[in-house]
Amino acid sequence: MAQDNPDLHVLGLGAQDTLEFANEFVASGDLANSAITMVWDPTFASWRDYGIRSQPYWILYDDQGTEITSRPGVIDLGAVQAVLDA
Amino acid sequence: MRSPTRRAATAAFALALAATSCAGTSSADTTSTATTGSAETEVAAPATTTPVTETVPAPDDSASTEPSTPETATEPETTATAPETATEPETATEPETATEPETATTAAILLLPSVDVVSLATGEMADLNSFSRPGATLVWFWAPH
Repeated sequence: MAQDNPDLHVLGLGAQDTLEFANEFVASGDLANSAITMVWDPTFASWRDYGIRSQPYWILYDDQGTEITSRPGVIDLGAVQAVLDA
Repeated sequence: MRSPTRRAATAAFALALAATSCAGTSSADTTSTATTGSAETEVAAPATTTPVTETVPAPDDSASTEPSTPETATEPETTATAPETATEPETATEPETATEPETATTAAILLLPSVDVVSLATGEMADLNSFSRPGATLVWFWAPH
């Protein structure tokens, strides 16, 4: 999805477990070569700021920084594409 | 033959006529007239008519009696003196619309929590905000397990 939409920036913000597990996750999913920016938060502080209590979870912002969608579960590609087409 | 009395009366009459008709003339003329008996009537005749026409000029009634008609005063042109109506100030014109700020046309950079995270591409620690990019952003929360 990120490769098909260069105007969309996808930031993968991981937490929990350890850094080794995080690197294994990225390698197993071949995410290192993707257009997704993958980071890991060892303190869990970022998730607390967002109020994230389960995963996966995703929040979509438009190009003005306005939050459009915030919901748990699998990413709704149709909703993301609608924002990009608007 | 005339009697001396008649001649004296005629001379006195002629003298009186000459004095009347020759007013303003030299005394020599009067004297000669009184002494010349035959020329009395010839001198007296023009003396009675000439002065009347010379001393009484015909009055120019048309010039003196007819009052000059005063020129009627022309009415002032009120329309010409009317002041021009003041033009309305240009405040009615709409001001130019301000151009929209560039933030409305260019993408804003999303503000993320200021938290140190590890870049899994480089292994380096960095503030989460350093990974923010302009444009639409999808933040995906994941865990390794």
